[in-house]
Amino acid sequence: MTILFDNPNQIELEISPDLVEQLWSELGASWNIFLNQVCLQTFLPTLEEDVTLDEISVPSFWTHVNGAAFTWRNKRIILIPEISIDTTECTIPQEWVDIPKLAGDYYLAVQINPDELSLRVWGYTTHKDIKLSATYNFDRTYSLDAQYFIPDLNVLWVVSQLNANEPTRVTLPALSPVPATQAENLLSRLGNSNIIQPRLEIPFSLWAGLITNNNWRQRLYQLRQGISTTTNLGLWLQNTFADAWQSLDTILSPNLGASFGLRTTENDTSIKRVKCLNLPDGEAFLVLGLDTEPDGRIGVRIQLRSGSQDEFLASGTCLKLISASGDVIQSVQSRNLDNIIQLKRFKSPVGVEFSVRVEVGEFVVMEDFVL
Amino acid sequence: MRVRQNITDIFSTFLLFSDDRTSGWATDARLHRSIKAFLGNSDKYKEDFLAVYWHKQSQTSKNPQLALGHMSAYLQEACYWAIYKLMPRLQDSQEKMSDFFQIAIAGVPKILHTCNPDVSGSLKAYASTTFANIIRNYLRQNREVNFCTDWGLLLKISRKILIESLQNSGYDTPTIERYVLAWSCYTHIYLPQKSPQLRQRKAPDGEIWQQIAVYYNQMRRQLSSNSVECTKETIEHWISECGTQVRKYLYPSIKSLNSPKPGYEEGEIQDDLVDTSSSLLTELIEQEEQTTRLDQKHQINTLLQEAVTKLDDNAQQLLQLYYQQNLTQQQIAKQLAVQQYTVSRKLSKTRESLLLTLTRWSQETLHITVTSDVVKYISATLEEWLQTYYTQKL
Repeated sequence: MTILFDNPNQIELEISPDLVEQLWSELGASWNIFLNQVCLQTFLPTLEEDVTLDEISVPSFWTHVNGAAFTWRNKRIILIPEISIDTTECTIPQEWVDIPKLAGDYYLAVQINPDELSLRVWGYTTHKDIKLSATYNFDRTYSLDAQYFIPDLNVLWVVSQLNANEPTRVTLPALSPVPATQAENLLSRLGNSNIIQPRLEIPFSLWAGLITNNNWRQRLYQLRQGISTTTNLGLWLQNTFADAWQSLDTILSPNLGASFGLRTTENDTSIKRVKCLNLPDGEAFLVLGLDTEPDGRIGVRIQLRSGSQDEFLASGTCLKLISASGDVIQSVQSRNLDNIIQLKRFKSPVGVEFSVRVEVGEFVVMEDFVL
Repeated sequence: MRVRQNITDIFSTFLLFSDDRTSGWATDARLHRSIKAFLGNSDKYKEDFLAVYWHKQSQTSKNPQLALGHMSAYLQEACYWAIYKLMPRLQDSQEKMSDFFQIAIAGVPKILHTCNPDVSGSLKAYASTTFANIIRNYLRQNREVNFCTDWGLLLKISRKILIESLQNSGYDTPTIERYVLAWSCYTHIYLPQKSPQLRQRKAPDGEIWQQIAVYYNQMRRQLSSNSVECTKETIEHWISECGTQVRKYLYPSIKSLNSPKPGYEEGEIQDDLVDTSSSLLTELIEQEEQTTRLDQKHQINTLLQEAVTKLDDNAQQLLQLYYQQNLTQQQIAKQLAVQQYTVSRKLSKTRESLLLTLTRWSQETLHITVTSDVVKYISATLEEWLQTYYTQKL
């Protein structure tokens, strides 16, 4: 590739044609996901130190919001890839600026030319500069003039070595959390793929709550992709399981299963599967046991277990059974030093839908089932 | 080019070009009167002091045109040399040096706004780097405009370019708002499907226009003025119009740049000076000793010379090829039989190590606080030093 405008003060990189071909065939028409992947995979290898990629740098986020985050030398860096030929300003989605959890220290403006397969970091700025000097647009973005960007990235490298505590941020007000029921309602509304930009459809604080919660964001993504999120328990009876639902042996140590009371007696013909959930304090296991009653109905047992026998569930962790209409049918809450909580066994005819909700403080994860 | 020596000239004259060569200096009458009135018969004000003074004036005065004019005059040589050095590195560009000069010098108001006058001695170096960057960006943008169909171009412009193009053609604000929204819908819907290339994008078909119209109608309640439901025909018409206006605005673009207009404002210069500047002047004189000084030319020179000799042979060779022989990175790669990427990376790393040395020294000796806003000037100072040092060695 020819670099026409060589400049030792700016990073200009060639984008590998193989990378483009591979990402394009995987992601196809999801332009934003493609662009952010190209940007990350081309830029990150040029940094010498290890970087920690942010958990938000995933397709379920990029499908709504442009930009990727990572941590480098203890600083949070946001990459903003743009295909615009105009480097007199950079447009930064509001999510990266006003959500305390997402805001960064430094923002790098990246120009990507998909025709010439080149990537250029044309400047960097700070959260402070965006908050103080950018204009806010109707589509919930900030535009910041190039004069607030420093074109030489070497400046950033040097500052990070000599003054790791450079002030970069403006303090942001905390956003109030979104109640679980409201979130569920919003998700079913925004799950409609005819709504082209869900991020503009509801008030920003609500959107911020949805998009920063991994489970809700993932659900929204699946809903909009038309991927069913419901686990079909009927298939379990035919010995067919999705990857997420493992047999007990693969996850729990053998002696653990017995002591936890999911009895594996010789007569026990029930089917038991377990799914790993990421809760704020670490992993926990959601266990479902099924057995068929003589009358053809299905008996269901549901438990939540801590990640290991030595760990406890966070005190106040809630396990709830929710009907298809959204009513709470059963609920159980952990006390101090509980490593297991379980719902009362219930029987239900085939075809019934229900959900299981785990709540830890503001954190919510929901699983849908059909018998 | 004859370099100006007289302080009155430095703040009131502009470079003239004929046949793409410099042909002398033209005096701006208003600026000339202004500086004459300012200096009186005294010779107590030095060039650097006046530069800081008018730099500050340009940022604080209600009528900054006069100060901007003085500063634009002041930066003429810096702009000329930045472009002069850049020219050999540009491949097959059609533009003339005088065009580049006009484009770059138009960036003065923004340069002044970004630059902190309290970091004295840094403005010229910082402006030089910025002038070169302005030209690089201009060429890069023009190149892309030439390669793109209108439909591809619309995917590659910014909201800012679109708004400026429409304003340039005299559209009213509500219309511009509607067009911008329609364009934003277009860029969301009409992304490539078959390959990631954008330049040769063809006109959307009826189905796509329909989707864009549906989206527009979904979004139009966000507009501040009322907008009626749109058909796909209307949207198609609007977007085509945007394409035409953007191309007209971007190409050729020299005329549309807002160059500073020295001596443009009405009113008595004398009044302006007396009313707004006397306190600033006193303040400046008192402050002079306290400003962050990056202009310790002699010490910086010794420090950097030493740092360069400590670099490995490879790095020293690269610096010579780049700054002394003025080769492009591509030419260096060819000569050394390595990838251009290797050259670019090594050069950047070498610069980083010199910048680190210089910044550390400034921290220890000048007691500066190392922040991005200060190190950007140090970076410009380094670039200026590299260019001067290697040119002198020639």
